[in-house]
Amino acid sequence: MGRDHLGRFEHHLLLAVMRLGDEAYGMTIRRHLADHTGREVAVGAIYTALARLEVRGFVQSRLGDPTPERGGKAKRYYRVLAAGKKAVAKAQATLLGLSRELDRDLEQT
Amino acid sequence: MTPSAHRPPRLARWLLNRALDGAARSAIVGDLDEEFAQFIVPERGLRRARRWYWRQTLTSLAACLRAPGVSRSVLGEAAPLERALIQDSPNIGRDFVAAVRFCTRRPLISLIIIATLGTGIGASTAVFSVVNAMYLKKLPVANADRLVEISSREGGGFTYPEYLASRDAAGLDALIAGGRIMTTLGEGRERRQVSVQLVTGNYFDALGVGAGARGRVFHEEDATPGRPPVAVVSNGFWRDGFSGDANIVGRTIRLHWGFFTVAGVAPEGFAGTNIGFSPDFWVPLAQGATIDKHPALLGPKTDWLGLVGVLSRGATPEIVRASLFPRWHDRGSSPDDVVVEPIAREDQWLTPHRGLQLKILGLFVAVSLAIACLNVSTLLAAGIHARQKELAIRSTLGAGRLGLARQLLLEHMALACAGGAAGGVAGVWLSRVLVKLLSNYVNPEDLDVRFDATVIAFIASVSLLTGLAIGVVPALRWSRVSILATLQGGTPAGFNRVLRSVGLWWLIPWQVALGTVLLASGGLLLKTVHQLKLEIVSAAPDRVWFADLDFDDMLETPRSFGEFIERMRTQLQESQEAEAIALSTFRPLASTSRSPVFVEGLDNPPASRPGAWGDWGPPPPPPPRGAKIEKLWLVSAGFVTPGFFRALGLPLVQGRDFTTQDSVDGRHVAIVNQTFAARAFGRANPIGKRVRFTEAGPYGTEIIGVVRDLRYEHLRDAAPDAVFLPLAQIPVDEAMSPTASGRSVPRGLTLLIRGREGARLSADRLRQQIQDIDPRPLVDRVWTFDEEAGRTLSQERALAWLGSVLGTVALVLLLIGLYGTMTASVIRARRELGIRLALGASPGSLGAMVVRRSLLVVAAGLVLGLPLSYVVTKYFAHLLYGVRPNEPLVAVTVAIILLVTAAIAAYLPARHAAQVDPARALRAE
Repeated sequence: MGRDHLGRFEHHLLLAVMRLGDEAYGMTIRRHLADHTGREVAVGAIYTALARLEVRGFVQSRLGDPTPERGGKAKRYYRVLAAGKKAVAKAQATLLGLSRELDRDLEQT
Repeated sequence: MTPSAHRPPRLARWLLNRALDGAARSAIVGDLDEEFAQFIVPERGLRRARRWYWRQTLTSLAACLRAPGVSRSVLGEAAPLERALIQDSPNIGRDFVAAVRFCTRRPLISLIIIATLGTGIGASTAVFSVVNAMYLKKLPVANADRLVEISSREGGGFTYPEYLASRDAAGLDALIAGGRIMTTLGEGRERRQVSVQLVTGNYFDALGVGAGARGRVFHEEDATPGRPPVAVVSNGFWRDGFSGDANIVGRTIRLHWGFFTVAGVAPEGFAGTNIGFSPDFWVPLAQGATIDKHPALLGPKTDWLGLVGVLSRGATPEIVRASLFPRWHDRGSSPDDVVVEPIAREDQWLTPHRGLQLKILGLFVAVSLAIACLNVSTLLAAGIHARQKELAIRSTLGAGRLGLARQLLLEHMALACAGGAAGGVAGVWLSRVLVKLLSNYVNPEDLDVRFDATVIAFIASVSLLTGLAIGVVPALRWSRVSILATLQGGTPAGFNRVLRSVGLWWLIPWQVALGTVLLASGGLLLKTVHQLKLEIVSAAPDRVWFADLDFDDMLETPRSFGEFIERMRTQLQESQEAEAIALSTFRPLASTSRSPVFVEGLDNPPASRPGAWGDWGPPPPPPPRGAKIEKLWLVSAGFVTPGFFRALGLPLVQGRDFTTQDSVDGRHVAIVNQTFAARAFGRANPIGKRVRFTEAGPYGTEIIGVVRDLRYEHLRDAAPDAVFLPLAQIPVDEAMSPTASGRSVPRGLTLLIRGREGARLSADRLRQQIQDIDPRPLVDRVWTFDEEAGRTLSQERALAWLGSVLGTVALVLLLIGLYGTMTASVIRARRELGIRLALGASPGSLGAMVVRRSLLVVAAGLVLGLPLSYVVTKYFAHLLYGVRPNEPLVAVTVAIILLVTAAIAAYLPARHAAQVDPARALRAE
């Protein structure tokens, strides 16, 4: 296992955070993932995974402002760091490499 | 703010707030609230939104709990690493959950620990629930705390006129009188023995007991003569004897000569005021005389009643005493001779000596629990030692020693809680087993060992104490390990230093010491049982059968006895099966009745031997009696037919046996046993000497024979002083059943049969044969002398069995504990072992070192344990028979067993040590 190996869930998470840009926090990430994968993810699982990714240096978090809709609780925003982007790129390349020339097969299903 | 109708479920939010800390709480709860209000409710409606919230709560909590601690802390503020990892306010709930999680990660060890604790706690619970049922629970009557037992210091019962005179004494709300009799229920072949308590009419009202499952109880007005006779049946007998007949009320039953209508069933759990001896029926005194047709049951000469009073509120026993004394005649010289005592539960059914049995049981169980705790402590300590590195890191990173100790303690408490729950379950089953063991003494129906609040509180506190006991020591011990040294690559732990540092040097020896106590006690008791059994074989007549017969007035005159015996003898001998047959009023090994005896010419009678009641304790102190009674010589007295001694295989060493000439009209004669003769006459010839059994009057009975001794009362005691009289000459007072002619015959007798050699008798065949010869007597029990002797050993056997079982369990625990410790130490000390090997030590010597250590630890425990077990066994030394408390054979056997166990436990770790690869050991760490 290399140091920048990503599990599938982590892969999806990083993609979601990259897509959401400045608006990437727990709730938005969750909804984004739910929309795309069709599965409900627990927000706690998202945070624990992001925390692990933060320790490995792939993402960075910051606290936002409290808002009334959250009962006065602050939001924690995430953004992907360079190392994280490299890991995602690697994962994408792996996927591409594995699925090369299988497009026609996949399209027919 | 969202309107209140659209709030997320409060319980879920509370859960989240409790389980998560600071920043994680902010983020997760905030996100969920936001999404709930803005998206989920509008999309799915309130109800499904709340369900969504709950799902999110539970899955998020699960995810957070599964996460390693580090990442949870990283969810904290974006601050330097050290600060982020400092725990904010201690959260016991979260720590406890983490503790449980940790335990479930190591199922095998946790299961062993929980099973160990469960056994110890279960055994303690069982014993406590019995103690609770016997001593602590209140009598199930309304005014239990105001009930007093009234008696006279010199003993004896009361007559009915005395009761009437005492009824309106000051200080009492009510006074009840009662006495118990055994009688037969039903008629013909379906007769059975039952116990009936005859009580005054106010019995149930004074005790505040109402009707039970059926019908009603009787009251004062039912007790007036002339009213139809009624009876109340006990709940237990209603269920067993009448099969819970729904139509029991109004049924007519026959109690010997009397007919009674069942008025109702007593409430469940009500056993009268004599717990453990609860009667099957209650009948008003006034109507009870019809049962046995006793002419003077309520007369001034029959003093057989016991008195129980209900103290008025605010009254004291002194008031009652002062008021009662003038009403009693000839009962003592001052009000102090009137005894008014609250009814203590233990006096109901256990003499203080039987309480000893419970104490010994409690001692065994407490020792077992201590061993279990020590063993678990050992396992936990070894486990902690293995986790040293992880714990050191946690401590450095801010948890602090205190936080770590708390965490460890919580883990141990979690285990203790699980052990307590397991122990509670085991205790339910074990308490039933215990009740069965005690059923020789008391009616098991009366022992309500169901768990009530007291027992549950006991389980909880024992679990808590156990948790603290096992948890505190390892947690504290750990905090002394040097953190820095550990982090720098592990202590270069010497094998011995490892053992020492975890305090195993004193945990295991104490386990061994306590185990020694159990094993030695069990061993001594086993030897006692063995010795007593030898006594049975050597002293007991073999091929002797007993049968309890109840004649129920079928034999109208004493002469009919002779005819009955003859019929039995001829018919049974004709069938070639019986060598000798006899009837008697008592049974060997059952307690006999005592009678004072006065010997002509003997002015200084020997002291009476204390009575044995079949229990084992130190001999009871002589009762504080008036001076005249102390001077009496009390002996065992029994009435027998000719052939009794032949049936028992006892030869007559002097004189002759009874014959049919010694009948009701003949001279009064007696036969004494050797002990009696020796104590009364020394070497002089007893034949022809005269005795009497009344205080005054002529010495009307002549001694005609001396028979060899037999242990009539208990296997442990020497033979009592015994005198035997012909059954045909039984005096009127002895009997309980008047006949038409005014004479009396005894109602129940024991038939003794000595089978011929080779005859195969059995209980059923004997019963059948007796009934074939004469169907009238009720044959109650048929059994052999061996069985009777075995029954008297039941308590010693039970305790020996218990001691041995617990000792074996302790041995198994010791094995596991030693094995675990040795293995852990070998693993930790791999480096040292590798060095030794590299320096030229042979693998065999390393293995030998491990085994030597193990033996030494156990030997240390033996040094502690053998003196300790000597002290403990001296405590119940009077239970032992044929062995001394410091019997060397037992001590040596125990020592050998323990040392062998130590060797076995060390075998695998020794092999492990011998197989260490020096190169790998030196490299790794």
